[in-house]
Amino acid sequence: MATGGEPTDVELLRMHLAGDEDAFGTLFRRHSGRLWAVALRIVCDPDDAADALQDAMISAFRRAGDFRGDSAVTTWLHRIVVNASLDSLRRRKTRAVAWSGDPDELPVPEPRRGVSGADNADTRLDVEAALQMITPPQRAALVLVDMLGYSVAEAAKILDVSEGTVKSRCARGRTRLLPYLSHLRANSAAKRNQPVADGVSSEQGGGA
Amino acid sequence: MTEQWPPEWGDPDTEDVENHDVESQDPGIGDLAEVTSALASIPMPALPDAFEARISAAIAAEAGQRPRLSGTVGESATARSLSADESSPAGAGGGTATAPPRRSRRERARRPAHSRPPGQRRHRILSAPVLGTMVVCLLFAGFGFVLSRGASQSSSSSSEASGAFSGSSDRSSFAAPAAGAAGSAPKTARLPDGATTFLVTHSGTSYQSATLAGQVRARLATINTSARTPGPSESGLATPAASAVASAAASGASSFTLGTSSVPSSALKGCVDSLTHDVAPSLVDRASYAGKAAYIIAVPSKAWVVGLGCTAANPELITTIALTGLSGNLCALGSV
Repeated sequence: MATGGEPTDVELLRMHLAGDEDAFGTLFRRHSGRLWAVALRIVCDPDDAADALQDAMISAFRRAGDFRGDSAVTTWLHRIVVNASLDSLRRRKTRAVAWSGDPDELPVPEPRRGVSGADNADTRLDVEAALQMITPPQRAALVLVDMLGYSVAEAAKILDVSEGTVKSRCARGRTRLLPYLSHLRANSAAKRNQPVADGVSSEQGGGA
Repeated sequence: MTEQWPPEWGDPDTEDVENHDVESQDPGIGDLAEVTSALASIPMPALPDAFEARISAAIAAEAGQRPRLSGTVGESATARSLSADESSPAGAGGGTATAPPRRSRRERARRPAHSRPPGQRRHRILSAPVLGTMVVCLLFAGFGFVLSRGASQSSSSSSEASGAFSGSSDRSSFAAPAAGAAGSAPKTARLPDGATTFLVTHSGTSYQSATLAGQVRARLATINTSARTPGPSESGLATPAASAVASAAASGASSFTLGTSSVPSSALKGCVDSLTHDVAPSLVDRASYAGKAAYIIAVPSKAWVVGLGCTAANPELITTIALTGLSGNLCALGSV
């Protein structure tokens, strides 16, 4: 155990390889939140996401010796979780959404006017539902870049693809999500048109 | 990675990505930016406690099995045999041979995905290898007990059990909750494979609110007394609970002097671990409290009364009580 501060991820991995029984568990708990977010957002089902995360962690546990140090430990863990999540989806192909890929074919949801666009719970549900309408590779890219804030370069490492591919998947995913999330924009616009009350404006922040 | 997508996932992502200014396609940049904003506004989901406990338990079980797998961790060739390639999408799922079992697809199909509360997830924590190990250990202890009984007719069944267990394997050691509280021993009771263990006694005691502390103390003292065997350190059974486990294992549940006992369910293990913060309990007694069925869980310094549905996520805590002064007594008893 480190005598000073918390051991780094690499140190924990070394300790694990040296036989420390608790080191890998500590590493998991340290990053469990983000790893869970990745798995859940890609798989879109809590139970399957938990299975995928567990499979990923067991796999990482056993393959710790394969970690070459080319990237951060978290990148390596994320890559394994992404792969396990996509594996889970492959096994669950029956639940895949059959869609030609043409955004024009999507049933555009009616804007829920009158519902506050600031309603976080509604927004979350809408986004989660919309995410299921794009392909898993696009979803993985969007989850990493737009939802978890990874840079394109980091996401490219995690997904083991080029940065251009990540950008392409993100852009295509956003384009395909647009019909499903346009009502949020409509609500925002409606809100902007309302008189400003209590000095609070509904200024909409820009995205990346 | 992309080459292995199912056809329906196919997209031209890998085609002509160089200088592919997709941001300037049909929708306005502002529209796409709003999609980005909507995605970024979603808070990161929290990993449910039940899932975290389950995965931690799976990792712990894996760690417990590592001596048998020694040579696989850190040896690339063997690790690669578990999984084809670090970068392979199929890799993560490839090396799960001894991980806690997954649900069958048929079982998944029976229930809608979102209808399962995390706490009611299938029993994956006590994996087959762990359970198998426990059963083998208990049988081994029983066999040793029979042998030792043949050698000596004079001592009590619990002491025989302890000695027999010691003789059965030098590596067999149960850590001591009491000693652990003193800070000198591992904090969990372990089977030889490293799996945390305890047995649930079924004393039938009717615990009452007014006398709870005294009843728990008396119960612990009873366990401790029965566990005091000639040379507990020699036997490798340094704790009351561990001795009780071995005693139960050696003599069989029907003749367990502290009442019948049983192996805890994974949910109960999670419940106990969450309450005691992974300290092995001195007592887990299925009994009644104020007339209602309940588990009484105790460590040297504290006791909890919980409902029978206690899990890590939902402890169903009825009451808790400090057992002041007991720790010292147990330490004193343990040092006899």
